[in-house]
Amino acid sequence: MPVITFNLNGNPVSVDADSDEELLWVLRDRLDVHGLKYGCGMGLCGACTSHIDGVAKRTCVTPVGSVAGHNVTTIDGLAKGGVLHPVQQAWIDNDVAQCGYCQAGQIMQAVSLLNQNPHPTDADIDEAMGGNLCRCGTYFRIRSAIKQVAGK
Amino acid sequence: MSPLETPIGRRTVLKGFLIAGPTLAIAARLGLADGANAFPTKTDEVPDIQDFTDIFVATQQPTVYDLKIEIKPDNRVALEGPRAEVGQGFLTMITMLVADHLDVPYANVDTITSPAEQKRGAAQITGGSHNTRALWDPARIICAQMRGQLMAAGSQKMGVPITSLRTEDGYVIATNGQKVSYGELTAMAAQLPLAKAALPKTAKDFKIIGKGQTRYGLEKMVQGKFQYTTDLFSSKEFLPTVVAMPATHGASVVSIDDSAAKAMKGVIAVTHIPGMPDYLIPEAVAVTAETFGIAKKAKNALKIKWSAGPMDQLSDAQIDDVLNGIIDKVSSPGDGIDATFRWPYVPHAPMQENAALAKVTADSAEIWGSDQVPNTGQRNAAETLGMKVEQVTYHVIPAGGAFGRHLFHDQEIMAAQISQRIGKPVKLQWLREEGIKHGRTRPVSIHHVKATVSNGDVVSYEHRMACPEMDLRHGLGDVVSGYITEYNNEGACQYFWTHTQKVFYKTGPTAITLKQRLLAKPTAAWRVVYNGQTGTINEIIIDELARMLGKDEFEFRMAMLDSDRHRAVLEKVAHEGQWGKKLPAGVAQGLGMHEEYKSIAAYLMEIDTRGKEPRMQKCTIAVDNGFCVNPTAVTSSMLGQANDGFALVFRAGLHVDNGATRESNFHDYKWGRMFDSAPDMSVHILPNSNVIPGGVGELGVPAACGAAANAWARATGKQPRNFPLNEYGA
Repeated sequence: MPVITFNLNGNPVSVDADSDEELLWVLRDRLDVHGLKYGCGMGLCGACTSHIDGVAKRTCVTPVGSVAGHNVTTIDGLAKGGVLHPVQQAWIDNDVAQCGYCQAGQIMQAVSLLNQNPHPTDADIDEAMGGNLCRCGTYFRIRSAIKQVAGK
Repeated sequence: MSPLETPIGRRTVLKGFLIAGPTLAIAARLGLADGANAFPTKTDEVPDIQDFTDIFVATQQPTVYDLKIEIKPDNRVALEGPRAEVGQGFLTMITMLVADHLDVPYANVDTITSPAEQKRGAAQITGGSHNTRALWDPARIICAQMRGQLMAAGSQKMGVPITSLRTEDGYVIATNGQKVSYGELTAMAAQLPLAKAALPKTAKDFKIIGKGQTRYGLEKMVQGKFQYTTDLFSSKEFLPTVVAMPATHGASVVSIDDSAAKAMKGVIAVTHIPGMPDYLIPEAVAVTAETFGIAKKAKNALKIKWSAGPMDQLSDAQIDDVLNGIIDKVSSPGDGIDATFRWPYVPHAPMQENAALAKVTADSAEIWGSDQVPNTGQRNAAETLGMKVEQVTYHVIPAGGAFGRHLFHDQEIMAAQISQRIGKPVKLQWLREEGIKHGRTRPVSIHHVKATVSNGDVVSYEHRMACPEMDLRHGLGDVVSGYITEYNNEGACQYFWTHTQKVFYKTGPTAITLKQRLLAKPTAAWRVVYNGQTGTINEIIIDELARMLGKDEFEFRMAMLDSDRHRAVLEKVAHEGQWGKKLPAGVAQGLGMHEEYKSIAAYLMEIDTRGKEPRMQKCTIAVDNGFCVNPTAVTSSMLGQANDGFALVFRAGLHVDNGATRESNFHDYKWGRMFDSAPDMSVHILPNSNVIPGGVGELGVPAACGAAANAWARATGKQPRNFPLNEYGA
């Protein structure tokens, strides 16, 4: 198997894996990074959302070969030097989570949205977050948390 | 006041009606052939006398006081909560109760969930929204005993009389200003003879209970550090495993060609496991590999021949025929509303699909899952492994949602069977496809409702439901065993039904009945059991009765509700949500209410039907849950249930084709998304109406469904009958 090298949460890593193996499982099973979650395996629910070069991607449908040489950031690497990202803090301030399982993906998606559009409208939020399912129905507080960050 | 209006309890007019009833009914029957018209004669519903919360509390009394609380020398408190955390906020709630009653800071309590312990009997079931109610007294009383013990130790240590002591923030404090931490006293307190308990705190002394508390573990959740089952160990130690399940429900393996799968690099084992057919846990073929990605590919390369299944002749239409053949007939004579309804099969589909870990050796087993009834799971695991219950350690790990899915333990049993066969620890993750097709479901149902009207009053109400038999064998037998001696699933269903079904409007003599038929597609209790379907329909009928009688839907409810408590909740939601405000054509408000688990909720939803699909543009919620422990959690729960209501009414449902479930993932099984959630939502918690808490984990769903369906009906002029409306409502 080829050795594939990329930057993971700021550190270079190399893995022995087929290049078409999904990034989600390479991270979870080969590199023991567990913050990102499996929900559907088809890019339908967003639970595995992480950043590739700063942009939200569904890692369950991303071949690991496609990230060779790129920067991968998961929820595990979002806080820097023990300081939470403002979006993480907003999630705490708004008590967003219920079961919490989808929230890693929701946060990574929201960070990506706010990076590209610092002041999203409700319609922008609907569109950007529409691919991230939450079965507990925390959407109202996700929206509030995004608006809190956007309002700063 | 006429004799008919004598205030003799609820349904004053109806009682009067009933006094005349038997004679009239008998006379009518004598004059008519079999199948003649007759009004229902049932009046007071069982939940008014005893509801399921009462049953939980009563049967748990012998063991529910077994709460594990330990004060550590570093003044932290280790707490084990004997329930499952599934997103409902159990860990937060139990931490609040214990911290407040023990008089320690919330942040000083480290809480985990207890593993299965058979000695707990019926007191380790998570369901029926009863946790807070059931653990309310144990937390009060045990913590008061512990404080008494700590004060006795403090009295010795400080050499002051116990009467000069009080407790605060983890310290025993004397009137002379001396203070000692609980941590410094814990060893001595453990050695002293049992002291007199301190007085339990009452509401006026609460510092934590009643104030909003953010979710336990939230800081970890937002950093991806909160561990769910599959996060617990490295996949190098617990091997990634997926399962292939039968082509049609109830089918079994005829042959397996695993040559292509086994030839794949990284595939470790292919294992045929029996499941537990008696428990509708399907037979399956498991693939274990280095990673889940490889296991999934190898699973798709399996060539499995499945036998025919017991329901291969059944598709939706034939299932409906079965149900139409068993449903009780409506029999009330007279005019009014006569309507039939249908709800589809709905999976629980929590975001974390079924997962479990198992490490089985020759003489022991350790299992990790999120079982809502771990005692039953532990017993069944022992049975399938050929072990004694004591040989099986059965951990309860927080779940990424449940909604009833984890009442059963399909995944724990499968993981144990696989680990035993391959001799290695496994990490089993059902693929979403297996979960949508084979996960347990809320059963499809049909309903026939007849409400008759005379001289402008509702004079009788019948609601007949039929569905595939709901599987309650997850441990409900433990809960009702004080009442029925031998477990019988249909009996348990009827018992559950009569203790949860209630029409809280003055609808006259009222009959609500259930008929079931066992089918092979696995079912389970689903958030708001039976009431999710019946309660919603009752709310639709109430709205339609109001319009038939030319009355405003809010005013009609106010007149029809039979308690001030209900009226206060409805008034609150109507006021806060501006009931009756002017809206454009195609946009309308809708009301819905529900009472269960000693709580009452009302929803007012605005639905915009002008676009391609209906949108929720505003939702206002009012709730009276007796005594509110954590307003933040109650708010979250009620908001989430608004999304459930919207999804159930407009989007969600499965189809059955020749014994197989058609849908497979979130592209064809459609649940609510961000754009279905209104930007304008609010929850209004009424002042405490009781001294004990009611449940809120499921309460809002029928009210939210009712509000969504009624708003749609008012916006479109159509009648909601067949769900989901996006598919069948055109």
